[in-house]
Amino acid sequence: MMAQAPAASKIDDWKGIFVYAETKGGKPRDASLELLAAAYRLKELLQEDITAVMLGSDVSEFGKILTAYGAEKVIVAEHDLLGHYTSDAYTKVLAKIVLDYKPSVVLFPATPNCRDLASKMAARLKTGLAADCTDLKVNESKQLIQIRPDFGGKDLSEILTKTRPQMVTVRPGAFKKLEPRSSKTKVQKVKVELKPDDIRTKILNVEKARVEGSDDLVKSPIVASAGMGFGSRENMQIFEEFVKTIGASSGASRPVVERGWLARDRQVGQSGKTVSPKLYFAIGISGSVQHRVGMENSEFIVAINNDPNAPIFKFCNFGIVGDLFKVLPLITEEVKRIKGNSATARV
Amino acid sequence: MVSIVVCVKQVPDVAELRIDPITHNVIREGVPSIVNPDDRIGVEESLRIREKHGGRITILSMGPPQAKAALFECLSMGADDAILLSDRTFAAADTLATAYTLAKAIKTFRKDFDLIICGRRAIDAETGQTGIQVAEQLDIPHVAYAKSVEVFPDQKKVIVKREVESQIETVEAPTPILLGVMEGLNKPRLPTLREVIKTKKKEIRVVNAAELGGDLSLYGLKGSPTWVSKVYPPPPKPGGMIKSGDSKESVSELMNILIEKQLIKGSE
Repeated sequence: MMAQAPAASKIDDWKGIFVYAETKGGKPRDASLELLAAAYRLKELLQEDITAVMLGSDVSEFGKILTAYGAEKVIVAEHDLLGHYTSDAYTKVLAKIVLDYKPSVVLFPATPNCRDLASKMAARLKTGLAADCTDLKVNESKQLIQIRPDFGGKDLSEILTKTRPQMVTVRPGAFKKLEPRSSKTKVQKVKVELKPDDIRTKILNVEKARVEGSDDLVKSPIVASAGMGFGSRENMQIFEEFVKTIGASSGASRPVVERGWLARDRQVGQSGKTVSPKLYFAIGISGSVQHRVGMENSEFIVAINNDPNAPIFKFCNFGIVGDLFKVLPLITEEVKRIKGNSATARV
Repeated sequence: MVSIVVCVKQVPDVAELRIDPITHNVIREGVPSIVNPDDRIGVEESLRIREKHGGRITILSMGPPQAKAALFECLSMGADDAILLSDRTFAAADTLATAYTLAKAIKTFRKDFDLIICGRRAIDAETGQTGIQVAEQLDIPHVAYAKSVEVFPDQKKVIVKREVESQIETVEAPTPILLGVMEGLNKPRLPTLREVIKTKKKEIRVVNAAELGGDLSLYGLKGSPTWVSKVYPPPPKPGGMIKSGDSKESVSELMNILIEKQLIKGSE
């Protein structure tokens, strides 16, 4: 099927790479900075400039962070009514900016509020939106190739967009942010026209969600997950000892939480949490797709499994084929030895 | 009385999908179809709202004729009626074209609605976009990621708690409105035998493109600004080191790598 591209002149009106920089606590968050790295790669292929766009009530002083991480220009829209995210206000303001500047590409981090914003934006601008992409390329006609996993990661799809702008949400962690460099800040403030009536959803209250004790799981630099290889709840003791020794957050595959060997909020994978620690241990986990999508962006994956054909060995960085009841205590001992040394050294 | 439309999608049971070991393609044959899990939560929520306030629940779906099975299941949970938008013209729609089609059907057949409920995302494509785009096409507000829903029919408003990244916002909004619901909102009921028998008498209305009318160029692949140019299995992660010999040796090799990469800290 060929793309039914609109008339070339129309498409040519759209130039430039926009990065929507979501903020947290007023500052651009890491997922936004990662997009600047993605934009940087596209810039080389498209020969178009990178503009970061930031919305908020008081954010312009953070524009320099965006230029440090690769933005050539920063557009800031400030208004009291942008202090907290609402679909209505953010869509109204961002849609106006996009229509004024006509970028060919708009990148959003695939965080919950940005997925919300991008969906509404795309419907308003009647343009395409590729969801939760893990990679971006450019083809010979300078179209953006938006690559995303389908069916829980079993397939990869390449998506092209006939209309402009080509909008895409990018999975956090899919790109690594660049090394910051010193740069001249060119922050351009745009005029925002917004009144309370523009926002149909009124926020009455914001509170912190009751933490189910698993917040550590997504933040911890080391995560160790247990699978069915442990065989029974009683056998989990060596897992707990390992986790404590190495200082990991404990995770689990779906069958493990279903059997109650670990709490439900420990589940890593499609219907559980997505983690991307520096170091991930998959212990007695075969590596089903459901599990894989929740941990495959970990920096270094160690797998222990007695089945040499387990799928986990196809995407781990270091795999040990062997009996976990033998291997895991050995690792625990080694970690104790190493940490013991370091403790004495510190004293 | 609350008039509710619940949008549902029939999806393959992703947990049952297997990969062909030789071609590495997803094997779709023989995979059971189910009502998308988040959409079942939407159906359940609509039933609870109707139990409290009275009203009417319409299930709306777009899909091939066999998607009737999914609608049948929603009816046997207790929904009042169901509409299936089914036509080759609707096929290969992306989220924008799907949203246009659903919005057109809602305007045509249930224009008096108070609430539209959609699951947060479908487990096959996982975009989470369609519901929000339906709301935009109908020019009504939406609240995504709803964790609790209270409807005030007399005041024509809802109070919804939405959870985003460990923050809970309490949001008040006027009806008509679209709500995106997610896991944790409720536990969907199973159809009872009584309802299943009753359901046999309920009819699923199948609507094709001609009957739906509207701008045919906005349906299906034609109306979709995005298209899939290529599908392939994910490449294996390169550089994996697999050890199957002596455990002690494997472990010490692992520890060396972890120390070298500074993934665990040794003596400082």
